[in-house]
Amino acid sequence: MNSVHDCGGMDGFGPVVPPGYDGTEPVFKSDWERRMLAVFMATIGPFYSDDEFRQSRECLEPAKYLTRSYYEQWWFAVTRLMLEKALVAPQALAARLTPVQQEPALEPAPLDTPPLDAAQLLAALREGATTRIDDATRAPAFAVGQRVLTRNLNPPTHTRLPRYCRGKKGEVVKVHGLFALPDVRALGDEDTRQWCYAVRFTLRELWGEDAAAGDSLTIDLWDSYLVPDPAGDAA
Amino acid sequence: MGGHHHGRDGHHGHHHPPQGPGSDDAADALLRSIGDIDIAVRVKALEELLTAKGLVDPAALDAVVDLYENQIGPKNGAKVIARAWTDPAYRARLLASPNAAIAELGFTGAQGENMVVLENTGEVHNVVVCTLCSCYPWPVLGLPPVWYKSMPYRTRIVRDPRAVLAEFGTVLPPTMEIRVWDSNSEVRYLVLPRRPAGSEGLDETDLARLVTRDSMIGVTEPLEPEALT
Repeated sequence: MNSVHDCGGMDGFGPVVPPGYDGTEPVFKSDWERRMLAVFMATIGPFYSDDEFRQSRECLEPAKYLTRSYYEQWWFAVTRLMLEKALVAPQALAARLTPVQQEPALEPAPLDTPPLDAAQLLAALREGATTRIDDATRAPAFAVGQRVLTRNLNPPTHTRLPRYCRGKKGEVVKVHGLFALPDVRALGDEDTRQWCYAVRFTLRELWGEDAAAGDSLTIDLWDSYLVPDPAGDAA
Repeated sequence: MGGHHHGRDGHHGHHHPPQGPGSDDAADALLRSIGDIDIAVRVKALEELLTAKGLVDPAALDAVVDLYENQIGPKNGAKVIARAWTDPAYRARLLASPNAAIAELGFTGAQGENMVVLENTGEVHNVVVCTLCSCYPWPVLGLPPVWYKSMPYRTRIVRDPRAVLAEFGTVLPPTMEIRVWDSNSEVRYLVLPRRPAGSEGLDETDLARLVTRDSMIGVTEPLEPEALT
């Protein structure tokens, strides 16, 4: 999706380092941020994947994306997913936020399966999860050192191929393994796996001759994003 | 961002066909109509609804807040780096098998399942970003700082890293190769900074105090030993 989240290389956002920055900051600035983080942590996995979450956040209109704080963006992303998956009824949410119309009948009935308790949720977070699989029957299409060309893809849905490295020539520097392709996992496909590679581009390839010679950018790219560089190793 | 799969069969009854973003007009309309209400009120409403439906347990939410606010943070990563500075065998394991080496110190979990450690040298300086969202190695660094998640860093570091590093006070010679890593997959990157000159006499505990969060992202060098006095 070519929305404003795909921002690498844009101008005009000002300085990076906050005034008075001493290298530290509180983890949360307010209590609602704590609760939003926790709601996210407790619902990602059981009810949506991280790629679905990212796509949902990317659906925020550009003007809101740029002006609402990080955890408020998470509220929009999680709430949209809950509505789209019919886990939260729109009338029930609206009723809670507009007390005049409150109707007790809209309160949801609890599901049969209990939610994860504290011990189960902490165990899941300490365990982690990955879509990476090992499959000895599948060989990577590209090898370390191989020159590749990124495709010019502009899907209206989620992708992890940013605009700034489409149609660019780079070199595979690491083969990470077989991972879910985010583009289809964001749409609910949990089965597709592709090879994912770290691909290195010179900054001059990405940004032109004004970029520093010798500096580079490395990004992880899947099979679908890549073709062999027609110029090959001579490039 | 997130990523723990703990399926509960009872909650997987909603198998919707793949949907494009914004395909749910009703959700869009509702989000627009309530999107300017005080965010604290909206978060409370969401939590209460999910709790009422039995999708989340408020006590579990409390535990998650404590985990990420008080237990997991850059002190974890600093222990990893200090160990690598003092134990050559550990350093070799950390570079070759980062997941296992980091787990040796007890740090595992969501957003640390596929770690890669980037070694700074006299010739190469590494710096990490996530331009598309906010991917970050939680088990070793905790939750990311605001600047890491914000547009100025995400827009600029991939294009003019030297200027951004200079803003952090990190001025590198032209002969130093800068490698920017855009963290866009399930792989999470941790920078192994260079051990500061003059730190030879320090033990692992004191060395860990020199390792800042920002030096493990790659925007700064570790503190100088004088910082401890």
